[in-house]
Amino acid sequence: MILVAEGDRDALAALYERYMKRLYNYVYYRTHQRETAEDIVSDVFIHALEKVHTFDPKRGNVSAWLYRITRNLTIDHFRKMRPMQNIEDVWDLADDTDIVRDTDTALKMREARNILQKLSPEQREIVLLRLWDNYSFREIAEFTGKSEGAAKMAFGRALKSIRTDLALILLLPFLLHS
Amino acid sequence: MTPPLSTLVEELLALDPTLTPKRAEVELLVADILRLKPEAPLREEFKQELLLRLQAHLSDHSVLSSLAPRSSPTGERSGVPFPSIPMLKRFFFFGGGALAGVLAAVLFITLPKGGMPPAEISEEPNTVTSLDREAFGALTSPSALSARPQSGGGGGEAATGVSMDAKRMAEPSMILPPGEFTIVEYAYAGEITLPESDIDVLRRRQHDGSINVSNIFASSALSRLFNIEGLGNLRTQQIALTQEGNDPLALSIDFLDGSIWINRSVDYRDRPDAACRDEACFQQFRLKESDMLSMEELTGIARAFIAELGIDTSSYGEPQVLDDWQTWYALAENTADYYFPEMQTVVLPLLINGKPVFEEYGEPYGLTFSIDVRRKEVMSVGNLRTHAVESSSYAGVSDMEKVQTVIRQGGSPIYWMPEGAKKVEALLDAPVEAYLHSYQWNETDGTSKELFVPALAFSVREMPKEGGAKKRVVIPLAAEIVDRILSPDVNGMPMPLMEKTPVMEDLSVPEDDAPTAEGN
Repeated sequence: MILVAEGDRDALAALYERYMKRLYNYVYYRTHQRETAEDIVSDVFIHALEKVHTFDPKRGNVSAWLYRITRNLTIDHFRKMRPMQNIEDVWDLADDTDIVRDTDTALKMREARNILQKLSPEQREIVLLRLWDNYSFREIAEFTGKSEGAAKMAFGRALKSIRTDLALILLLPFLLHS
Repeated sequence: MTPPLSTLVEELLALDPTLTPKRAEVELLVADILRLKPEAPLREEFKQELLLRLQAHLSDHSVLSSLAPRSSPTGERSGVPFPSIPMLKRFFFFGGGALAGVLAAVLFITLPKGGMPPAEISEEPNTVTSLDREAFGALTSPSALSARPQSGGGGGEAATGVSMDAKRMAEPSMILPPGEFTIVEYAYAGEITLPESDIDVLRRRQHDGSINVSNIFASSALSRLFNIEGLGNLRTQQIALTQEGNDPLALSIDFLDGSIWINRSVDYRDRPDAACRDEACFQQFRLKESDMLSMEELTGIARAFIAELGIDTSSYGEPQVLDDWQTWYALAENTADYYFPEMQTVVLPLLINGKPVFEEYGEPYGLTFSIDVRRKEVMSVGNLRTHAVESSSYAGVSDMEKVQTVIRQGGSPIYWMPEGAKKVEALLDAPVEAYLHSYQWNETDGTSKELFVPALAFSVREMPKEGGAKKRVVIPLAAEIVDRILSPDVNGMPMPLMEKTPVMEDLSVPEDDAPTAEGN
């Protein structure tokens, strides 16, 4: 980051190569639209470049810093579209009608929402960061400001909660007809 | 890459050993969530272009701005071979007060000292070289018809041949009932002429127009930092340039790909709605239908930009406006909530042998202009590329029944055919001879090839009111591609909903699983 701050293009290229795809995936998983993901990721890196001098390694690693920028800009994207709505997490707004999503993604999102809707925004974020974004619990802990143990605990409880809810959903028709 | 399912399950069981007896259920649940992870189509062009922009941005704000020569040698021209763009020529003159701004030369040292000298650009940008039969190998790859990273990221829903009604997409229900799908079937009753023998498939060649970087470098104050001659022959792969002044145009030039991307750098914080913090403010500045630019306005803006930069359009056809927003607007349940796009797109379709080139999803492929609706100004230009190609013969399709089936499907595989779906028909006009632009990415070895396949392009005579039909159906005339479109491997791929979800034997919720005050 120091090299990037000093204008080292190779350092920038290395940083970009390391994080670009993961950040893009993060945005895409939450916006479901390629063009939007491209716009936001572009903003993330431009914002990061402009603020690179403010990066303080004592306050967190690069990954967490970029994650926070990405998450904030993604929320800003939705907030701009729905400024009056309280946004707990981007998932809440990704179902809006004005988002023309990629078709395959739209279908998957409907099903995924069904599974994940009962989770709190924080639980949902942790589940997706682990299972879709493939971040380690250590990274997730940094992102969310929790301890690693707390992040693991939240993940475990979230999965357990989903499992219970799904079983209820599936068995409800049988119970009603019995 | 996502960790293996077994790893994730082991991790989960380690976190909560009470789940161990339910291991199978946990596996199915995790597998379900992993299965629902969307494919995130990252365009390689975007990735490269953004890096160039960032590097230019970096240069703009840090090192180069402080090292840039206050006065520089004048009148010396570099030999950069893009003579068809006068503005670009100007970038390579280092005259005081003239357009300048060499920002970044991304140098990739690809040859050892004493290696091959840099290539001279002597060929015409658009040439055809004949090769042996089937010289390009397979025309399709297993992932090609499902990923298509360079041709629209899957082509939107119309490209699948099965599309959802936009109104249904807007409903809050979590699982879409199968009966709410609308399938567009395309129909053409006229005669079709198929090739009698092989067809000539074209593959775009890498440009390889590298230049001697020392010519540029020697003119820069950076040359004082070290002796570039000591590295022997160097090749410039990419270079980024930007204009001086407000709202500058930035150029990303890829000498190996033979492409130039133009972007206007604008600070959108100056936009009137940038400071909005409440709904009323946003509504005040929202674009309205009446703000959308007409075809005449859009093509006029594009033509003016072409004239200003002297862009060579001899390989391209008449401008066409991509107006997808109109389709979505017409399908929107509540038009008052519709957000009109900030950008509108004009495309000049590439012509090969006088025939237009279309993407797999039916839109023209060619020189692409993005125009800011508010500013009424070109913001970016894409696909300004050389189109030298190699030609190789492949078996043409001769089975009319297969062709009719592919036409009915809209030129694409049917990924999912739900039972009870509503069908609407789109009648097609007589076809025109064309080329299909097909980008094949080999995930295994990371290579790609860009093909132009002889095709028939059928315009939709009248758009159905439902289903979001394509405007155009493009049927490749290569037997291999037609067979691939109809292959069971890519048609009717299952889209299971909840069938695989585990059913618990024990419905009781242990007390220690009860939600805490923190929601955990």
